[in-house]
Amino acid sequence: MKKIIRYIIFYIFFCSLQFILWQYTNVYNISPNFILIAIVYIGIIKGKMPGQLTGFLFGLFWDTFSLIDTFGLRILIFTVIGYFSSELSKNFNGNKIFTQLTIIFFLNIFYSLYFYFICYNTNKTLYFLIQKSIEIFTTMLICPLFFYILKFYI
Amino acid sequence: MHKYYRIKLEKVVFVILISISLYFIVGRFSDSVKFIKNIVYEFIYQNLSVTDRIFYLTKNIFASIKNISRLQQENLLYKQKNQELINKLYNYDLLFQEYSDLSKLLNLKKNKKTLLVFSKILIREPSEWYKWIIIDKGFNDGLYNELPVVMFDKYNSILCVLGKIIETYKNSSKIILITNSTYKLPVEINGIKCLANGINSNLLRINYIPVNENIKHGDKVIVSNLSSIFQKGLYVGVIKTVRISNKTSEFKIADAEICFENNTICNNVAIVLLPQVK
Repeated sequence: MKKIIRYIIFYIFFCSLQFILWQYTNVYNISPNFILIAIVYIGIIKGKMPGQLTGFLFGLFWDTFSLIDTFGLRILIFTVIGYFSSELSKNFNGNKIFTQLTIIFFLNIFYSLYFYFICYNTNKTLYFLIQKSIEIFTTMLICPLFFYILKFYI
Repeated sequence: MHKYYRIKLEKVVFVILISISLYFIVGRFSDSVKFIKNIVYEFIYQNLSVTDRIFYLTKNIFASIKNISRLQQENLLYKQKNQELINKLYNYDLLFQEYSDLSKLLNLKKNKKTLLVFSKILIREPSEWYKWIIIDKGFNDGLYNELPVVMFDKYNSILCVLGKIIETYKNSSKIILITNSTYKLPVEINGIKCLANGINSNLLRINYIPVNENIKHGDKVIVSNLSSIFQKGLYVGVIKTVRISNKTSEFKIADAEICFENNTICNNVAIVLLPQVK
């Protein structure tokens, strides 16, 4: 029971961070992808099963807020990210910051490319590239802090 | 052996989850998927609105402590003003009665009344900043789909177009912004009718401007009377650049900067224009 409550708080905390709190401090619409950090953390530390389930749930939550024309796309990508974050960390030490940063980096690029090819329908490619690069950089910057805090929580 | 089954189970669950997500993608417009989406939405929205309220209250408590002494003085001042306004209101009632009587005598048409529903923007995701927002008013407040939503432009002190409601829930509504790439809005620049469509950024692309028309930087873009949702004349934005797409084309293309972003992010208030029915 305690574990379930902990997980519920974990989901609500990251959803609030992504959808509500960040809009107050948003600069040029660039924000770290907090949900990706949460999924990768669960994938690396807890394994494939919790990783893919977390990815599925976070994708579902995000897609319900998003418009109907993209419904399901995030569920798919986050489930895959949850599964493969665990697969990638299998051969490395998941507790090392370098491993975490490398996995976050590659999965973030994968996520950005996925959305570039599927959803992005404007011709501002350079703008998209710059925005996504800063997003990936900021996500990598704050990722060790979240990994450190989450280690004591889950 | 146990490990073997665990790995197999993980793979089976992965395939099931991927199949479900593919089912969601393929059948996203079907009623069953919409039903699941609405259930999940209501559950998550309740939790997030509580978080937002906690955050908002904490922010307000600190501000309130600062303002206590100032409020006492203001209260006295407003009491005086209130008395003055009550006197004026009495005169207004008399005038209104006179106006109604005269309107009846002259058979004048009455103006349509529009109710302004002020709502807070609760959710705006940074990576989809120019696509959609969620406000904290829903069908409990009388809102329904296709209603126009505007915002107050604090620099020009006017109402400007924000978007329209596309999904309505009990206590919240989803708004598609005019900057969304799927949104098209009939607009007018110096009396020339054209079409604006979003490009998922703070600019709107204005199409179908005749080549011989003189449209320049700084011209105002307003809603045209062809719009079935917005009232004619509502402010949309300002022209930033104008160009001809190719030499043989009969039309020019312009980019206009939207004005709803002039509202500061912390005073995020969207106004829904609700037509009053007799």
